[in-house]
Amino acid sequence: MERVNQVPAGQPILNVSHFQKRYGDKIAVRDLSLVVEPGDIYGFIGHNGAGKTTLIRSIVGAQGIDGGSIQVAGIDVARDPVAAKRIMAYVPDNPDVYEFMTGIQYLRYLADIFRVPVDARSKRIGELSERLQISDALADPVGTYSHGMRQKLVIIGALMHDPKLLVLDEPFVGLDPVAAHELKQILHELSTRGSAVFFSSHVLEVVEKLCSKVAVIRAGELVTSGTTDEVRGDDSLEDIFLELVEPAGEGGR
Amino acid sequence: MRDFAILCRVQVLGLLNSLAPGSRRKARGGRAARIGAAVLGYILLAGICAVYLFLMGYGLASVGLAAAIPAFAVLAGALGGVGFAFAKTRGTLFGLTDFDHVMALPVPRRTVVASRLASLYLAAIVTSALLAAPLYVAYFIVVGASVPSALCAAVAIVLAPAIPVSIAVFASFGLTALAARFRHANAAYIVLTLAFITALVIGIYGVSFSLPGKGDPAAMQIMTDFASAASQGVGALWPPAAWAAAAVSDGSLGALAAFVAVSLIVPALALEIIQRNYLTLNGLLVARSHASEGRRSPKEALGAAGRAHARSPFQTLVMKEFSTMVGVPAYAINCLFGYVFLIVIAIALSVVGLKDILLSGSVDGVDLSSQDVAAAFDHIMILVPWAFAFFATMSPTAACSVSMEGRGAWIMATLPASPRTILGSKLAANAFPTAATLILCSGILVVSGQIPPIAAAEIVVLGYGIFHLIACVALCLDARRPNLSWSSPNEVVKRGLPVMVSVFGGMALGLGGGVGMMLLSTAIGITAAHVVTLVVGVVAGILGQLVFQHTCRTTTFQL
Repeated sequence: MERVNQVPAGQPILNVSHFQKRYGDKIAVRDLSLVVEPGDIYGFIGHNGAGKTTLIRSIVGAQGIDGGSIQVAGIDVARDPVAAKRIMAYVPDNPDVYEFMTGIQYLRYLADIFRVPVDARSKRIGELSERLQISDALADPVGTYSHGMRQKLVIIGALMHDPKLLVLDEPFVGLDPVAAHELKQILHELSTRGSAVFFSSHVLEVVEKLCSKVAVIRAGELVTSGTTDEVRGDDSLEDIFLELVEPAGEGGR
Repeated sequence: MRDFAILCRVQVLGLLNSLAPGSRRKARGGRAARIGAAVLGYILLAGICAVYLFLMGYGLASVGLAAAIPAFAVLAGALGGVGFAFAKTRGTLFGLTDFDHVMALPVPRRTVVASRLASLYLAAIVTSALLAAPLYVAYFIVVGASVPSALCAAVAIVLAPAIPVSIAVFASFGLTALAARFRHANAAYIVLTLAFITALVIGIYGVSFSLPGKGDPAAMQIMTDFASAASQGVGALWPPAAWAAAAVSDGSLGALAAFVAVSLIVPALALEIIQRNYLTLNGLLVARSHASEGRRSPKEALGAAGRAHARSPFQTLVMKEFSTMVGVPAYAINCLFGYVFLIVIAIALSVVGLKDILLSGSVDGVDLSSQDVAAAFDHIMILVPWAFAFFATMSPTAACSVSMEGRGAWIMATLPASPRTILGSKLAANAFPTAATLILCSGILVVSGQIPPIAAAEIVVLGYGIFHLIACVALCLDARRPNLSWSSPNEVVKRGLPVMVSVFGGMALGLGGGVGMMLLSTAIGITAAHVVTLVVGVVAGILGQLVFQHTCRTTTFQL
């Protein structure tokens, strides 16, 4: 695919600095900092309710920030959300899409908003829908899709404008093995072209094999981050994860 | 029985939650207040409806048509229940979002279906009470009440919707199954439902305006014969209505027994048929059709993605709003009716003539002196633009447009489009049709000679100005506190606060303002009243725009 969005050399794709988010009196995420460079496939793991989706929603501009800053390719998400959103894409954990639209209507809708050139959108939709094996369903209403089919549709919609930063929340849930394999390939291709991928997942085997960097969050705080090899050391990522997210005072496995 | 009660309780909790949906960002403490406010709003609306129906019934009874009221009351109760059941069956009984979860519970299928049907019947009974009770009260005031007849009326209110609701459930299922297979079924469903509602409203207002005065014996006789024939026709087409009417008016125990028996047997049969075939029926709705009529093949669809010219983000957002209206029938039916009503009123007035109605000597059975009317005609005409302004606020698609994003709100929140662009598209999707409809209506009336050009200008300027103000206020409320977790669109298009603000605000400004301006015109003169009307329209539009600008500046779409 040809490049659509350019980022200044040396600029991190994602710079989260002392991020804080609270809901009422409860601090959901506290003083979290991490950096995602061009070419990174960055895995973000943690227990349920740790704050993964909270951070992700703030990165993609779907939620405010109560402290710190988030920059995407140097653009502050809070100060210039439209410019930041233009160069990134989001795939949520629940792929709820307008049920009254057909798949192709949804993709055209996004293509218009993201100003994908007319000649490019058909080619990209065709390629991606064939790879994810959903081209037969694009003419049908989304209301008739299964969870996995909606997931595939949302992924195609996210990739159409060739984002610099692709943010995914539990992207492999509901995908069949072929689609999961293709998605991994697509994420590799995206990173090879200089974009970055930031995703959360509970499937630690996939994170371990796919990601160049990993961050672990526990109870709203970052407990470790770095390259995958640095984080896991001589153990498996699962062992490290279980050790790191275990509540303090309890015995290890 | 215990399982049935538990499942019914969940239905009630769901209904209450829909009145005051919670979210992470909303304070829990305000929930009871929101529910209370919503309930008060409904009570107020119900009160207005009840008063109108009582006056209509009293009008019928006072001109000697009391004998027709019981049959019409049963019919009103039945039709109200039908409308509700037809709209609510999808989502309550079929096409449930929690179908898998509910069917996996250790509860007999009959109990699950019974609890869902019970919620439909209960809502139909409430509707029946709202529509029929005022008519019965008017009847008993004129004819006199006895304990047996009052009890029969109470039984009739409760059981009138039983059979029609059962039929409506199957009809709604059939239409939903059809919609799953045919591309334009949603649009057809919307058109047919709007046509039905329009015919119903025209019928009601037609009866209201055609009630003759007591001083017109010939017209009275015609009306009496018509009402009698209509009453007998209702009874012939639907015998239970005749049985219930006979029980109320004549105290016939046999008729009452027949009515009760049939009204209990039919729903019991409906329950049995549905629960035996429940899995199959729901399966039919889920199945996709790959070779549906009028649907594109995948290759054609992909080709169209490239051939179609690119729209600007604003254009595509506006078109998305229109797609939402057509794609969600409840949204269309509840929010587009105002446009239809405006056009129907304009056509009706252009054909019948407002002057002719007022100078006919009788409106709603109230005698009018033609001399008095002629003298006050210019002042009465001041009301016309205000009435149109009121009806212009009856299509509040913008008022619930943020909430209508529902669980797909993450798309809106992550689009590279400013709040101004997104909110502007929602407002535009409401504003363009409203302006066009007002222009069309004023054109119809001025061409037919019913109104002078100044009144036509007032319809457009005042009508749009008040619409713009109300729509911007309602949109601001919806943007600030959207209900994105609805499970049925009715929660936002019928019960949402922004829509209620739109309805009541339009009522207050349109009708209240119209009466006030009519009275003011007697003090300041007709010309000055026209000027003030135009100025009010402009000022309302400006105020609305200021509210919109503020909303755009202060809104951030948060999940």
